[in-house]
Amino acid sequence: MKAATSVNDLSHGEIRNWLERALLGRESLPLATPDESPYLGVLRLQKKLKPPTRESLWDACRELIANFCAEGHGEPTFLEQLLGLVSAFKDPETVAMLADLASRFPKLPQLSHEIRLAVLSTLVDTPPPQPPLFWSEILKQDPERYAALALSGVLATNPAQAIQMLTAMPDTQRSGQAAALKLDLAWDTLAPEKRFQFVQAVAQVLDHCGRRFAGFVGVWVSAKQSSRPANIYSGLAAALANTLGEENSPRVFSSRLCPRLELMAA
Amino acid sequence: MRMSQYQEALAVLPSGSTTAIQAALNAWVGNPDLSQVGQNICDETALVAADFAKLLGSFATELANGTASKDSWIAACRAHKRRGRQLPDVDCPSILGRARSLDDHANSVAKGSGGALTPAEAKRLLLKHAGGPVAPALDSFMRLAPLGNYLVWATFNANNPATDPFNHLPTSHGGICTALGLGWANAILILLVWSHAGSGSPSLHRPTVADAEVYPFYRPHRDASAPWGFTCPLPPNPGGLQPQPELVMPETTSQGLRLPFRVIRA
Repeated sequence: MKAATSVNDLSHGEIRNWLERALLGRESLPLATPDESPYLGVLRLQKKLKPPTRESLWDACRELIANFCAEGHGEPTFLEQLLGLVSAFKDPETVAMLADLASRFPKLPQLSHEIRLAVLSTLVDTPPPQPPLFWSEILKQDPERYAALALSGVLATNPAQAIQMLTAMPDTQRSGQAAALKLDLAWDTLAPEKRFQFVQAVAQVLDHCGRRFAGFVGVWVSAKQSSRPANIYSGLAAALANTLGEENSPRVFSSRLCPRLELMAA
Repeated sequence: MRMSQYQEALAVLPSGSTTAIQAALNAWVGNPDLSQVGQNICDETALVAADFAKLLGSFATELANGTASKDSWIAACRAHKRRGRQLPDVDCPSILGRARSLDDHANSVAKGSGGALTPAEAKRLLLKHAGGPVAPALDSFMRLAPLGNYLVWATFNANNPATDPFNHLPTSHGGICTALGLGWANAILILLVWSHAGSGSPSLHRPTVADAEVYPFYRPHRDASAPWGFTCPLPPNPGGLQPQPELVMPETTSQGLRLPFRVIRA
């Protein structure tokens, strides 16, 4: 692509200007569709850049974040794209700047809620993870708005503590649905022998949660508790394998609840 | 010989504007992407004369202000979205579909969730539930997600507008990209299919060069009377895939989404 060649010829200052323009959709980028977010085009393009140019691009990204964190505000469309780029950058220094900014949200009234949420989402999605204490302070800032992201942040490092946080979640359908999905993703990452314990611990705190919230999370708990071992389906599996061949037979995963058994993928 | 619509639109502009536009297009010739954009402007047929003249007039005004030619074109395009012919309500296909990058749609799901899910969580959930039953909680969040950014590009089955437009296309990543003319789509794609009425029946328009901005894989359809546009299948197109109908509509949430959705890897 021509754009990669021309960016390779730019000085660092010009690369920074280019990046600002690119994130506003004012540069030709390799986009999958005409409406794709510009930062995804930047990510695709940077793979084709020469290593020094790529370094310069990431330096420019860090500088733009430093400016944003220093000023405490910015153009929302641009910042959403810049924060998207940061998630792929995975630069500890940049993450630290954003974490510091998040801790100062109460002193930044001009920063929109959408950008605050985007900053917190970036902190959830980008290593290194923030400690549970950071997220409990964020939760205190605005329990209604930040609860779901604080839960994600703690789930990433300390699932047991995250389960205790469930009692502090807003008693809304949205909150319950989000928590059920996050618990399911967390469950996927657990070692099989820890999954049963995890589900049971969630079940135990639900009595202390709001009714609407507990209803949605309870559905997830029930689904996990009612999983069936593989031997119930073994006849079906054998029949499918016989008809379709081994390649097409259903995959077998470790049991969700009982590690010594095997369970058919539903 | 009859003038092209581009020439007709230029003819109503002051001579200084005409000269500036022609000079800008000539300067783009050395750039493969921009030269295609210039060619598309010359080949445009979907704009009525007055709208085409307004688009070119805006372009010329920006150029006269000293704005760089690419910026001038983008600024003019952004002020002239969805000016292609609107499809009458009775002719609107009942089922529409589109392909977009999974990362971009995960962003949309996260954005639509208002901080309940992060982009990385949304992506994991979309991968987990692709092709199968969708958890009710994810279903809720998916329906809040915009189908695109600012402008949604959509296709449909012209022979049977009530059916899934992907049913008659290849199932492979390469086949979908070829048929829909998605030139830079090395990313994982998500295929979204939705009910037009279920999504609130937003107005559907034939795409124009202004909708495409500087996306180099857009091609104007030669037939000015056609109610919709057509994609340009990517070469070499060994399967001889036919151009697919193409429409644009305003950013709309996925309330009418048909499930299951599909995810296709490169």
